[in-house]
Amino acid sequence: MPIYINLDIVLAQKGMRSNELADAIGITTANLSILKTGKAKAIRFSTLEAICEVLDCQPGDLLEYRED
Amino acid sequence: MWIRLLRFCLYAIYLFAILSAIASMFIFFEWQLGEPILLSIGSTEIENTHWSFLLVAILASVSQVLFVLMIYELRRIAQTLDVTDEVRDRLLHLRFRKAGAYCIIGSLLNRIPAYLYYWKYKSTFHTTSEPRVYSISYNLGVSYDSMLFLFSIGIFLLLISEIVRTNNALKEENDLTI
Repeated sequence: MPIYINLDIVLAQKGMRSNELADAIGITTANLSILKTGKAKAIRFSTLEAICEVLDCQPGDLLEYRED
Repeated sequence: MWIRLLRFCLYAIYLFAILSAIASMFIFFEWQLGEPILLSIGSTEIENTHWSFLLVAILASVSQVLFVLMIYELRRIAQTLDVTDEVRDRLLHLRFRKAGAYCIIGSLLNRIPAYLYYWKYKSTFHTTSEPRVYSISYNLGVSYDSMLFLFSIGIFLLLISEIVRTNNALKEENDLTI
């Protein structure tokens, strides 16, 4: 899938750990790991909104389209 | 309670199917004795007037074994209701597909060779020369005891298998939506 999740980069920029983000947005670390590794099939707007709110970023910072 | 009763029924059918499959093997002992044999497959009755009768009997026996395997798979489907969701979803698809394939192949092996043998060699059968009591007879063949019924059950099982597979894909997609 040509949609890439740059959550690792944004997390590093904000100096936050994955488990802290998972606790803050109310999802399991396993689900966050699925999202980070690109195995997720879709992302809910509510999850995206929560991540953007906690990390103080835009959806465009997290998602990237790259042609394969 | 209801599921346990259904499982018991499947178990009973499975036992009877095994006994029937074992009993069907006795025809080969009879064949060795050289006695005339009348074999009833569905509504078709055939006699051993040609060597190809043995082939028909072997295929009919194979179909009996396939029937046992189909019931076995249905029993396993009933048992999968106890296992966890992920394993069950994967197994249900495979087991329904196997049961459907066994049913279709078994019904074809059971009836088609017997029909062909009947139409080819019916003039050589001893029973055909016997006088008939009834002047008119009906054969309501396309019904619950017909090959078409068995065939449609097999297709139905394959369709259920595909439904389970589609359901699995949708469930996986839903699970991977974060």
